[in-house]
Amino acid sequence: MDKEIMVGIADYKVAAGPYKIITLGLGSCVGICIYDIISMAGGMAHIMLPDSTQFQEVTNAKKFANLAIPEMVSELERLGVPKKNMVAKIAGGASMFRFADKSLNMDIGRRNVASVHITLKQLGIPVLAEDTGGHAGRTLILDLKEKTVLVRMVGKEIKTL
Amino acid sequence: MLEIKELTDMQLDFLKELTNIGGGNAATALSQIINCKIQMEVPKVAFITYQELFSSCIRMEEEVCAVSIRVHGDAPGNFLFIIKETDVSEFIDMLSGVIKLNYLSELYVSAMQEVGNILCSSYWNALSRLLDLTFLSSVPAFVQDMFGAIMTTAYIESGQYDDTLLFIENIFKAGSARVKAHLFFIPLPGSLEKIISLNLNGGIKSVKTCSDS
Repeated sequence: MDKEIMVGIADYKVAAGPYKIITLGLGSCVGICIYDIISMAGGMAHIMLPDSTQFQEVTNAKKFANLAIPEMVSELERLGVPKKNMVAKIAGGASMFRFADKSLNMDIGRRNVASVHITLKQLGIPVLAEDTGGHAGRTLILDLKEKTVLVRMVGKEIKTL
Repeated sequence: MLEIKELTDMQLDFLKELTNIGGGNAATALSQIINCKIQMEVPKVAFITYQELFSSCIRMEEEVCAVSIRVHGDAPGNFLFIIKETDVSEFIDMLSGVIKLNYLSELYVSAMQEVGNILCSSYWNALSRLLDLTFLSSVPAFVQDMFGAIMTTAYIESGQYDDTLLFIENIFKAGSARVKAHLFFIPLPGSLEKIISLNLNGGIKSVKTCSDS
């Protein structure tokens, strides 16, 4: 069986080989899969917040889209993946609570997704597919051997990105 | 972000006592609604990490039904009433009696929201009298999804972005302890400080007076 690697909240993991990288329960958080189109190397990040520049002190860079993604990309480069071979697939950024009073609905999910897109664009990594927004949580699985990204949601069939 | 990162034993006891009083009032209300004895566990108040939250409370991928209510007023926060999906059908049977409510039907969602509403109101009624603070609650929002997705979003929306979270939980057990209901309060930055400063300004006295009466 292929080995599974779990990615926690505000964390990222990279690997090279026939691994499955998994993150559970993405709500307004966004999961970013970046992998090599040629080898079996890739990584996944689970970010919570869009932008670190709005905070005075940053204790954990892995929390923020604008810091976690470049860090993960440099780690992939250290694994020997050239940036031009990297592609991305993303999922998450839901708005979990639907209050009747619209003013109570926060758009952290949407802002997270927007920030992920901007960061990836700056790095020059194309986003091949995404499953973002909506009102439901997601579990994200990156299969490095098959080069597929699976999205699991409650009460729905598994979706391949 | 929360300015307070840790609490003294005295402050922790004070918060636990408040959670006990709020939870106790909510448990009484729930007991009256479903006409069944409710057992309440000792409330938990602690600073914990997400890992600890999901290992000690409910697993991240566990499907749950949640009712979320925004609490506004002097000490704002998010209030959550959560039941595991595996327990929810029994709970809803207790609630509805002879009428059968179909899972996730409109009436079912409405009933769950109303229970959440009543629990939240009775919880904060007790505390607002005790602390002399004003609390207003929003119309509830219902969501049925993974526990992890719900809790992380609730914490982020409450402005708790740190690696450690302030965890405040009551657990109710109903129907020979088979059905477990969880109540969580996630304070917005500033609310905890406000409640604790009440304690330092003689809040303890009012706790005592209240329990005497």
